Formats: sequence, C-alpha cells, structure tokens
Amino acid sequence: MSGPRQLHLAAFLQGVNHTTVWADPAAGSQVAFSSFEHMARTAERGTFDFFFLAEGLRLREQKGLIHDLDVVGRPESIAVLSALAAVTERLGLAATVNTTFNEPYELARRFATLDLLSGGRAGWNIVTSSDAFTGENFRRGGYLAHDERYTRAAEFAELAKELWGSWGEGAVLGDRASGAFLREEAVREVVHTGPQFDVRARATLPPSPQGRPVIIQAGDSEEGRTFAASTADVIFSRHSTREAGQAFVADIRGRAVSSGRRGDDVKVLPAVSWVLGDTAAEAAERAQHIRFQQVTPANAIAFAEQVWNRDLSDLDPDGPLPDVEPVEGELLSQGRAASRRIDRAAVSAQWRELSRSRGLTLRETAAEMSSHQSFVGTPEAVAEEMISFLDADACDGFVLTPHINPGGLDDFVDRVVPLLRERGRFRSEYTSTTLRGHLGLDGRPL
Amino acid sequence: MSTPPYAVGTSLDGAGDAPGAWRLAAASDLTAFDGRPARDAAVLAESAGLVFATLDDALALQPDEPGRVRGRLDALATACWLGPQTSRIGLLPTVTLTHTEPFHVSTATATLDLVSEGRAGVVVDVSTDAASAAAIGRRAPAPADVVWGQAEDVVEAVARLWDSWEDDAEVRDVATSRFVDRERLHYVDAPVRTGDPAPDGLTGAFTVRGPSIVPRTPQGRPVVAVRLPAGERPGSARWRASALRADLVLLGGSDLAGTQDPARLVRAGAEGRELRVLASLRVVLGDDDDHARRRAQELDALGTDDAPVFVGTAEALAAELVRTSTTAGGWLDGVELRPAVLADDLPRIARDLAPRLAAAGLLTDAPPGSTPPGSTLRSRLGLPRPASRYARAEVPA
Ligand SMILES: Cc1cc2nc3c(=O)[nH]c(=O)nc-3n(C[C@H](O)[C@H](O)[C@H](O)COP(=O)(O)O)c2cc1C
Repeated sequence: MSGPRQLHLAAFLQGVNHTTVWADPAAGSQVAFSSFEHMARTAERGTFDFFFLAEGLRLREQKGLIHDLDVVGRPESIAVLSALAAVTERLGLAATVNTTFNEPYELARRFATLDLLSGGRAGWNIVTSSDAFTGENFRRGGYLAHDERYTRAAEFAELAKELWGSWGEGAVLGDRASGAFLREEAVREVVHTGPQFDVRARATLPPSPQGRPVIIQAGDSEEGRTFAASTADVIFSRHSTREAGQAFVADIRGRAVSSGRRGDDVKVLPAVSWVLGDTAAEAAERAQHIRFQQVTPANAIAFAEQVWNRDLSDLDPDGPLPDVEPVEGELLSQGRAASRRIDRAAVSAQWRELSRSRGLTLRETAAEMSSHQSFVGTPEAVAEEMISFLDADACDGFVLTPHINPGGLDDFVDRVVPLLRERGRFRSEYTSTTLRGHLGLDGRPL
Repeated sequence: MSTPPYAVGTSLDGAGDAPGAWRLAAASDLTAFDGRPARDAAVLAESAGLVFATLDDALALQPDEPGRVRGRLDALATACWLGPQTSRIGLLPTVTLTHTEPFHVSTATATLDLVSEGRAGVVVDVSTDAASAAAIGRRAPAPADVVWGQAEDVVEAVARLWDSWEDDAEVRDVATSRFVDRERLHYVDAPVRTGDPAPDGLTGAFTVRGPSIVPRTPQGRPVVAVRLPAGERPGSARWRASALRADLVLLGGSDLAGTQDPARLVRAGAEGRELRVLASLRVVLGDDDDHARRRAQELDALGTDDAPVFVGTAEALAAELVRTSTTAGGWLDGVELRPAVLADDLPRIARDLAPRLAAAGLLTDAPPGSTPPGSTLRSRLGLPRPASRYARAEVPA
C-alpha cells in the first residue's frame, strides 16, 4: 500500500473503573442497551476498526465490602455484542473473555456465533485473569499460578483456533436432492490431550467470512508478551507514552519475528484517553475538571488505601498524605489486577515525591497519579500528536477509552476523526467488511 | 383466580421442525449460518401477534443421520441478536445447564433481558450425551435423572444471581459519592443443596458466591421454561424441575388431548406456584385436509422422527386450541406451534390461524401491533414481576 501509514482506532468501554464518571449530568445508564447502541453507532460513524468491552467477573471489594464508589454492574459481553451486531454493519465487535473460567469448546462456539451473525466482525481479547476471589463465582473455582495461567491460555487459544478451522472448504453441501447437508469427511474431529484440556469435539459451525475471530491480547508480563507475539493479531497495551510505546513495539515486533511471523502481523494499540478544548488552556482546564470528577474525595482515600494496603479512612482528602508506611500481606482491595503486583514502597514514594515537590493534597496527588489523560489539547493538536506517535513507531493506532458513557466518544468522532481523515491518516469509509480486513490482516496466515 | 392470557408461540429452529423441511424448494437456505432464517421467522411471528419464539440448541453437533441439518448457531447469542430486530415478541433460547458455569448462564440470560428490554426467557435443558461431555472434557456423561437433579440446583443458583441486586441498588448518590447501596447487593452462596452423587464420582456439588455482575433486569427474572416430553415419568427429576422451577412448562404429547393428564399432574405438583402450562406441537397446515395430508406425506418422504404432529387446516387447529384452552374450560394456557416448514407453515399461522384465534379471544396482541411498547414477556403471560428474594420488606410508615 502506498501513502503514509494509517491509524487503527478502537473504542473501549471499561465499564466499572473509576475513570468512568457517573456523577456528570451527561452520564447515562451503564447497562441499558441504548447506551451500547449509541457508543457503537458513534464508533461506526467514525469508521473505527472495532468496539471493545472489558471483563470483570466479581464485584470489587475493599476492606471486605463491595466497592461502592465507582460504576458497578455491566452486561455479559458476548451477549451484548451479539445484539450490537444487529444494529451495526461494519464495526468490529470485541469482547474481553478470560481463559480461566471458561472451557474452549463452549467459548469457541459462542465466539463463532458472534462472528457469523456479524458477518466476520468478532474479536476476542484473551485475558488470563484469575484469582481465588473471582473463582468463588465459578463451579470450577480456582486459582492458577501465574505461569500456569499462560499454559492454559495458550492451550485454550490453540484449541479454539483448531475448532474454528475444523470445517474444511466445501464442508457445507446443503444438497436438497440427496439430503446430504454436510460433507462428512470435510468436518474434522478435533482431538486434543494436554495438561489443561482433554477434548474430543466436532464444531457446530463453519469458518466466518474473516476465517476466525481476531485475537487480541493484553498481557504484559514476560509470558504474556511471548504469548501475544506468537498468537495475537492485536495487542492492547498499557504503554501509552511515546517512549514506552516505542520500546514496547520494538520488543513485540522482535518477538513476533522470533516466532516466525512478520513484525507487522501484530498490531499494537495502546489504551489512551483524550480531552479536547477550543484552546490548549481550555482543554487543560477541562482535563483538570475531569480528573477531579474521577477522583472524588472518597475515591482519593480509596486509592491511597489500595497503594498503602491499609485502612486510611481517618485521613482528610484535602490534607497531607499518610505519614505511615504501606503494609504487605493480605490485600485490602480485591478484584483488581493492578493492586496485586504493585510495588508499594516505590509507588508510595512516588506519591510522596509528587505531593512534596508540587505541594499537592492527598486528593490532588491521587488525581495526578491515577489519571491516564494521554492527549489533551485542541482537536488539531490531538490529531497531530496521534499521528506523530504512529510515525515514531510507538503504536499502530489507539484504543480510546471515553470517560462518559454513552456520549464520551462523540467529540472525538466529530472533531478529531475528520482531521485524521483530512491528513490521509485514517479511513474515510470502510473498505472491508470484516474486522480482519479493517486491520489489514487479510491474507495473513490464520 | 382469573384465567391467564392465552399464549401462542412458535419455534424458529432451522428451516422448520420437520427433519426434512430444509430440502423443500420453498425452504430458506440454511447453509450461510447467518441467522437470517430465524430473523425472518421471528419478525413474521411478531407481526402476526404471537407472544413468544423459541430457539432450540444443544452443545454438540447433531449426529450424522441421513437427511438431517447439521450445525447451528448458539441459541442464546442468536436470541440476543434478534432482540433489537424485534420489539414485542418474547425470546426463549434453549440453554443447556450440564456443562456451563451457572454464573455465565445467569449473566448471559440477564443480558438477553437487557437487550430485548424485558422479553427474555430461557428453555433450560441438560446434556446426557457422550459427545457434549467429550467436547467439554470436564466430566463423564450422566443419565437424565442425575443431570436434571443438578440442573435444578443450577436454576436455583441462576435465579439467586438474578435476584442478587435489588431493584433500587443503584443509587448514584452524589452527596456520599456512592454509586450503589451495597446493602442492596447480596451474596447468594448458592446452592444450599449439595446435589446427588453422579456415577462418575462427581457430586455435582458447587457453590457460587455472587452477587451477579449484572444489575436486576426489566423482568426481575427472565421466564424459565422446561420441556416435558410425552411419556416423561411423573416424579422424575425433570418432572420435578418442571413443576417446581418452571414459569412455563412445554408439554409434548401425541396430540392436544394427550396433554390433559400431564397438565393436571404438573399443576398439582407446583405446590401453588404460578406457572403456565402449554402444549408443544408440530403443525403441518393445508388449504384443506387433503392438501395438509399431501404436505405431511411429502415431508415424511424427506425424513421422519417421532414428534407429535397436527395435520389439518388452520380452521380445525383453531377449533382444537380454543376447545383445550383454559379460557374455554380446557387445560392449556397456550401453545408452542412448531411450524413443520417455517417458510410455509408460519405464514399460514399468520394468515389463517392468528385471525381465528384473535376472534376467539386467544390472541392478546389483536389487532397485531396493539401490544404497548415496553410490555415484558412476563406481562404478556400474565405472570407477575417477582420481587427479589433478598429485598427487605418495606417498613410501614
Ligand atoms: C490495557 C489492558 C486492559 C485490560 N483489561 C482487562 C479486562 O478487561 N479484564 C481483565 O480481567 N483483565 C484485563 N487486563 C489484565 C490483563 O490482561 C491480565 O491481568 C493479564 O492477562 C495478566 O497477565 P500479565 O501478567 O501478563 O499482565 C487488561 C490489561 C491491559 C494491559
């Protein structure tokens, strides 16, 4: 393809994070189908590659109580995406689904259904999240050690791919005269025996127009990166600054080549947010306002408790930071991937340094530390900066995480997308009908 | 107790309920697996004023029998896809409970209720076959009595999860920064019963902590349906699940008359619970008796099974349905009509049967489209919206 490189864009609905502001007059329902429909239609109007849902299978808890400060509650992803397939035509539809509390045959069948109903627009973000806390909601229960989780994920993904590819060319005859619906020999029985799974199955569905669902991965550990570089079509990354993005992209491309793929067989899309204004100053002011909407006084205490891992309910959010040291041991906060592996000494030292050097209160510090506002400025500035990330090889595009549901994507699609299109960096209309096609992965090995 | 509204529904599976239906020239093309035949049928059924549509399913690929369709979409996902494409008809996919995590069953069916805005139901079923067990690979197959006993526990767990958020749990209280009132979210710790030991050594026992991740939905609980085939032994685990757990029992039977005794027995077993008892019947309709018989013969030549079939005119079917309805002093609260050929029998139901049922007062959506938007499946079945079992009694002022 000639011309400058093109961005890939996705919209991510986090659902239950503190970044989703609910106390704003513009905030709507987080579960009504109309909210999902609005956001998906907006993403499709913006010719996005895909719309994307997060997963969390247990309500978060803090100090043994259900965390009540953030948005809580969301629909089951594959079910809601199946409904969205009926109200969109081109937009990719991706769900985050873990490999720990599911079985390959069943999940592969649900994704195959979404993929066929949508005409080849399904994506699966494979996560390995598992802790005993979440396991309490499942019959299989369960905790898996970190490395075992990736063994299971790799075996799971391999089995799913085998099932999706098990109906060969010409398997569906539908011969009304003879009564032969399938060509028996073209439907392969998948037989698998491994450490995690012992499965013998015939799939119930043929490949979709895109072959199989697009595979997305969001793991970041050594095991996660190796798995992603060898298996995934897209990596959803948290490395959203220019320098971190460049290092991550280089690392992933290298790993992809080592596993026998082309470097650009894997698209790296960091999660980013944005705040627009008519002037740089106005954007900065709005960004500040949003940070304080996200970090309410009560939430500031909750964040500090997650870092210090101790009860800090006596603190004044508008006062200084805790003068005590963080404690290790049993987690105060349950159901968050991040609070598990955080280096408490280092992070609390960062909080203190920030507070000291800029004279910030606890709430101000929490707002700075937990804000992920990547692009703040005028639509022109944001568009230029996004393009510069692409040109610096810091990413292949972005996963945009709006802070308001359902209208949070509107201003980006109305004001930034047209500029990206004008500059020839983003499609003006869909040129493909499948998600794999949007990502430029048509014709690559499945 | 007043007579509940009569409920007429249809099945949407494949090209129709007759095994050879797909081979007829008029049948819709099933080879694309894109959901369109089910969608076209659901839209037609809705426009004819029908109350609900069912979607069959099973985990494993259908066995290799000559003349049969093989392969199908997941019914629950398909029902979700139908949600935004319809506006009044209830959607009841079959969901098998033997191998699937109760938590996933609960959240996905609750989501169907969200995306259909209160029109969700679920036909619960089990898997006894070796193919399903081997495809999942977690347990050996077990006989019906064992897996239905376990299914009863799963239905209990699923229903507790549906109830685990009280209706007003989401408070969005800016003053206290609280999005939810955690006092109105509940651990379910289901089930309390431990389940019967299965031959493979698994007890079937499990626990689910809760609460659900999905807030309480428009209907509170989607409608639970169980099929009770002709000849099912009263007192079996499946029988028990129907009588004690189902909102809707779908009775198989050689003909409508054959459903009379089972209907009486299952109502008696319900221990005073509200439930709706419907017949489920394949129909082959014709312009006259002769035509209907010719059609039935033509279908038989393409493949047979032992399902009960009504063969005749819409006029005769209407008369039978009226006669057996509770409205007319009979025993049936409704019927699931299983069109032998969707592309032929469903249009006949819409054109020839529905107006006759409407004239007899058995079609509540008459004229079609008069059902107010936002009516839930429960309301169309005359079933109350259940309160959450965890909701505290109102403190009198
Ligand atoms: C940007 C991003 C988004 C994520 N979203 C989810 C999510 O929605 N649900 C979830 O359970 N885990 C999510 N995760 C967490 C990881 O995917 C998961 O913890 C990971 O598989 C653990 O592997 P690791 O140790 O290799 O990071 C996300 C991670 C990243 C980087």
